[in-house]
Amino acid sequence: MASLAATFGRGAMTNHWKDIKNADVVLVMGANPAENHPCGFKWALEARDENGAKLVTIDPRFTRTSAVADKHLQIRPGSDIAILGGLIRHILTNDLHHADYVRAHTNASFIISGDFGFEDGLFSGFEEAGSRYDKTSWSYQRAADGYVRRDPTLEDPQCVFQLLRRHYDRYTPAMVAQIAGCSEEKFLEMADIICSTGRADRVGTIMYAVGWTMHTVGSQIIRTGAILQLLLGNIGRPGGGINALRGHANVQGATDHAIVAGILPGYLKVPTPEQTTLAEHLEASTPQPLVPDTVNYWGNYPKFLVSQLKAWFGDSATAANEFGYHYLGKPDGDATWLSIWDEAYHGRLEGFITLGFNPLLAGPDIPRLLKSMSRLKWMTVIDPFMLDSAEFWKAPGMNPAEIDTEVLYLPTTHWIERDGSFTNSGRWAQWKEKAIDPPDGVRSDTWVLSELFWRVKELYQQDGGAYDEPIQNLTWAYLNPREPTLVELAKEINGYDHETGQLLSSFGQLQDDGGTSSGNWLYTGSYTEAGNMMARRGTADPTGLGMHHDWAFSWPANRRVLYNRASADAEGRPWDPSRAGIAWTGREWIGDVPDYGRTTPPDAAGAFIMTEEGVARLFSSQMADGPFSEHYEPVESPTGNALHESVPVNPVINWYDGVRETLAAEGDDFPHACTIYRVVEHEHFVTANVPLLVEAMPDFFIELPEGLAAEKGIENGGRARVWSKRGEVEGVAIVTKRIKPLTVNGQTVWTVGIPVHWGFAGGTGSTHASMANLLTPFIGDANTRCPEFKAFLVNVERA
Amino acid sequence: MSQPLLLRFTFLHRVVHWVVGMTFVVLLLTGLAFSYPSLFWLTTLLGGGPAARVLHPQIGAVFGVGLLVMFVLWVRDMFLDAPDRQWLGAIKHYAAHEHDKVPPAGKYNAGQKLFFWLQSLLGVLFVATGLLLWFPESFGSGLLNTMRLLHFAAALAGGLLLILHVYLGTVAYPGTARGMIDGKVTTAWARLHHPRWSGERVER
Amino acid sequence: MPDTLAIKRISASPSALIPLESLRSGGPVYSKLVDISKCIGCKGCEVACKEWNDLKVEQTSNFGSMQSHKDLSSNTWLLMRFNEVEIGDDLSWMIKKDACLHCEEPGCLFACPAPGAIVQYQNGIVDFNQDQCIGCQNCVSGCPFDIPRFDKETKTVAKCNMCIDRVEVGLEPACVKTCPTNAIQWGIKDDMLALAEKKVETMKRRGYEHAALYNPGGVGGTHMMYVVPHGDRLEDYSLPAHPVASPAPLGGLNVLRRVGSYLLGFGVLSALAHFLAVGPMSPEEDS
Repeated sequence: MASLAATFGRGAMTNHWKDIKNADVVLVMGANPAENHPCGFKWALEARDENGAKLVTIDPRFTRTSAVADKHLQIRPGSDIAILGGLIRHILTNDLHHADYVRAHTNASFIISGDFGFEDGLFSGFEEAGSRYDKTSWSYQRAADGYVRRDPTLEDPQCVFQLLRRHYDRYTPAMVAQIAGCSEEKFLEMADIICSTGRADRVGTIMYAVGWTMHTVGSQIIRTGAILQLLLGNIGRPGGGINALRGHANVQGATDHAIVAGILPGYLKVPTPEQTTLAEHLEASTPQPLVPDTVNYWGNYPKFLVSQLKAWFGDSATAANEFGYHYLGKPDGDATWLSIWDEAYHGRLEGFITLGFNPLLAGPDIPRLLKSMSRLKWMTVIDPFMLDSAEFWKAPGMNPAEIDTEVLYLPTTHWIERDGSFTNSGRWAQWKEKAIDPPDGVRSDTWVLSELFWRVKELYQQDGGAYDEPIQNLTWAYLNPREPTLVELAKEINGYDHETGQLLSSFGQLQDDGGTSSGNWLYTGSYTEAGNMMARRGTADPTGLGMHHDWAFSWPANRRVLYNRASADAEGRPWDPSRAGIAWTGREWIGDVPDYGRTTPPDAAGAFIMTEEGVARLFSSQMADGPFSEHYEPVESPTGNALHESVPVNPVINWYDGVRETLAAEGDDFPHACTIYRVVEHEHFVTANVPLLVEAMPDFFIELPEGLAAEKGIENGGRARVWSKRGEVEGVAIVTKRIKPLTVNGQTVWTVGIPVHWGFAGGTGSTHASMANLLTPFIGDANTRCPEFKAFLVNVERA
Repeated sequence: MSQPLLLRFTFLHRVVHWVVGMTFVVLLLTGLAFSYPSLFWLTTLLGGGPAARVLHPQIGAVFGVGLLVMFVLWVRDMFLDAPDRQWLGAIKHYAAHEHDKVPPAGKYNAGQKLFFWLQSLLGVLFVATGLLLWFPESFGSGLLNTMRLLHFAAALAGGLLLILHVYLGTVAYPGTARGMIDGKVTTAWARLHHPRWSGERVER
Repeated sequence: MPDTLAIKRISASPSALIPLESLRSGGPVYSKLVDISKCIGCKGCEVACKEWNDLKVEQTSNFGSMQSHKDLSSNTWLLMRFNEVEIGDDLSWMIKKDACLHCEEPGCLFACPAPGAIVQYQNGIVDFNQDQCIGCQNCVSGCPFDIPRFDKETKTVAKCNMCIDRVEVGLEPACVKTCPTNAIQWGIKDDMLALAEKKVETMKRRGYEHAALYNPGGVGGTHMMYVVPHGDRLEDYSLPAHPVASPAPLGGLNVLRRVGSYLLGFGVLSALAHFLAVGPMSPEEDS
């Protein structure tokens, strides 16, 4: 998400599920939608069959998606940027980019500081000591008027377009093949298909998921995909986009509501310790326009934040107390997954509450996680099922007598036992009804959390305590304050006009003077005076493109394709009239809800309203590890970095104490690349409780290529043991033709695949087995610290 | 005045004979019912199709055990000797009731002895194939098909033997059946059909 | 409204041999159409089949495949079979929904000795009626697709019934309902044939020159048809190339039936003839 925001201004799937049917080329990479998103995947097949689209997969394994694709390219885990960089080079050397689009809608023409450079794997400004970049040189040159200098001819050697060309020129097909382990011919066959959409009459989409995200260079992989799509002119167009497929029904909704560290709901920013006043925070968080012709919608940041504070603190949020800004935490560290558990590992975290989540199995390096959990004083697990996390002290190899952690388990309802909304990958917030009653005595999440709130508040009221204001002043105005309904919460999130008491219908109505409240500006308009927009089920499709504006609510503002202004040229004419996102009639925009004022003329401002440039960023200074992407090897790699030997891995990743020692070092015998993934029969760990699904996919298994299995004497259906520097697993061997040997830097590399489902607690059937995350490394992305699950080293033997 | 009687079959022999005989008849009828849709109604003998299907192999097990006991009880007398071979050479006279041209038989004539061996052989076939068919889930369907055909073929052969057996033992040679009822035959019957045996009995 | 459950044939009854279409007609004739090129092997259909038909969960274990069970069973009427096949340089992962094809000329029904144990409806469904089943498994031999499976506990044979209880009330079978990619379609057979034609064309356009409809004439066509990308490699999908309604073992049985009736008849008649020719032979009474 970090990289999409850095590129386009918003971090979300640009298009939506049904829109994929409009594509001419569907690239599935870093994802396996047939396996993990089978319902949405039907639209890719519809594109393939009804639209004549080419459906292609690039993956370390031939997956169930590959089984129905037109072409598959096998690559080494962790070589994604090499492939995508190679595609960018292929476009630029063969002039396959959509020139008009690139000129109109990207920052290709922006001139970059002369101090910017890239040498031997490092961008300018690298500070060895802090393992970070000083980004001063990653900036635009300014003209006398203070705005950025631009060269519409794209010929200035310091313009983004020329820098981009130079940067990716090293990614020749030979280099790509050397890094990824594929053949040049197969790469070029693939490149011809993917790069065929840089034209007005063709459009291609990318479907990606955590196969891109979960790397030390995850954000930059996505960045590279975004750059690729911008060059091909595929962003904002129906059938185009870069589409982040979310793993669970409501991951997008959870993200929108700040399940990830570093943001407040609606992608607002968490205050930093230096921002001691609201004004300082707003100033730092509200971008200033870099060109005269930009909407710069984030300029409305103060309205979003103040309305959010009003939603939280109600009447206690006044102009006099800066709307309760001081009630917000201002952390000086980060609270990412890895950092939380690193704190616990070092005994600096006292307690942990987990809700709807099985942290032990979901995180990397389970042996380390087990130690971390053992060092907590208490842990509370709130979930419909007894989770492995709640019984971590029973994990294989643990001695309960040595563990002092007090674990509380609070059973709650499953989503099927309550109403509420899911926001799918395509940003559609869809209201659902309760299907069945919960078992007797099981309470809802809202009951549990309200009870927690009231009891803490009552303790403060009785005993007092340090800094109790955020709790004491939190507004909790529900009909039954001990168990708010989800409808009440939905309305609160949507927001009210405090003068009229009416529900708001658009975030355009939000004010920064305390006159409005909204829990999440993106969802303003989802529950209005007209009713619950998320519960709408109209199937009308006047555009014929599957936008269905009367179905549910799509943030923002019921817009179905983000950045849809870019689906039309500078004059507002759709690039492809048969697949018009929006079109300018001379007076107004028709089609999708425009990402632009409905009557704003096409030449008034840039298409990308969420950036201060008004265009999308081919070059972005918002990334921690470079304004362009660069191929770095995974921290555990079977080979050196063919591009720059001296900087093999991402130079700005955060190394937690003691982690280097848990990685395969020179001399260790871990020759095989390994990647982990999910299978369609299971949904993470929860379906271990569903007998029919356990029957459909009963056992933990290890996928081995035929050649490697033969070498190790492992038979299909026999048992294999796999171990990394951190742990080991044992399971049934599936010996397959679907993984081939790769030739990487001249040496043969085998890839081993392991699914993640299976733990040691609960569940039915024969699910009690090894856990893939016993093997994975405790290291994360340089931007998001999302753990590296997808590329590491192991050894294999017959068990 | 009643004729002098000879004991031909002991109680045990008779019981075993009838157990085998009756079970075979039931098995044959239900088997035919399973094989010929037009005879399916015969399953009502055992309470309808499903019940017949369950009982058929169980009765078959009794039949098999009976056959084994029968084998043990009778086998000593069933080896062919030189006169038997002569008897066989004259079998067409036997069939034509040309009594004087048939070499004298012992307790069992060669035809009966052959009948015994044939029925034992079929018995083995029935039991072996039947056991497989009883537990079909343990075997592949190819094997089962072969077994089913063998079982059926054996049943047809057995049916043919049954017709022969019943015909000869009843209407063709009156007085024979009594040997399997109260175990006795008349000396006249014995002299006619089994002269060597009757001779031994009388001498003793 | 036409009778959705008008009967066409009943096992071991005259109607098994004499089609009565001429007497009953007008009802819809359905078919499933499985587009193998759209199937992702998610097993949704497999699970839905068990769920709807309330089939027992079986203890499975991974045997070195993505496939859940090694074989169909009386409690698993639908099984996704996975097969990795290399065709030249390319890998084809053939994933096939294995279940009853509901033949127009059902070999199982013809082989069944128990009246009413197998019923074929006018709408194309071939349904097993376990109440009448005698567990003889002739149907297993009679099936050219190796579909029916014997149940050790109930001693009867079971297979896919095309969710007849759903079809009866106008719903599609559970597998169709649940298929996330619409790889399984359901409708009037003629419509499905037209759709299949379109799908074959699509596959050919995509480069599958041997793409074909699988609706084998040897069994009079089926009411679950497949569109197969590699129509020249049916065996790799475990689809018989030339299935017939009366496969070889059944032929043997038929021969034996005929021979048997002659043989037994001959036996009885011979005995009668012998008796009439030479009469009984009784010992002369001792005086």
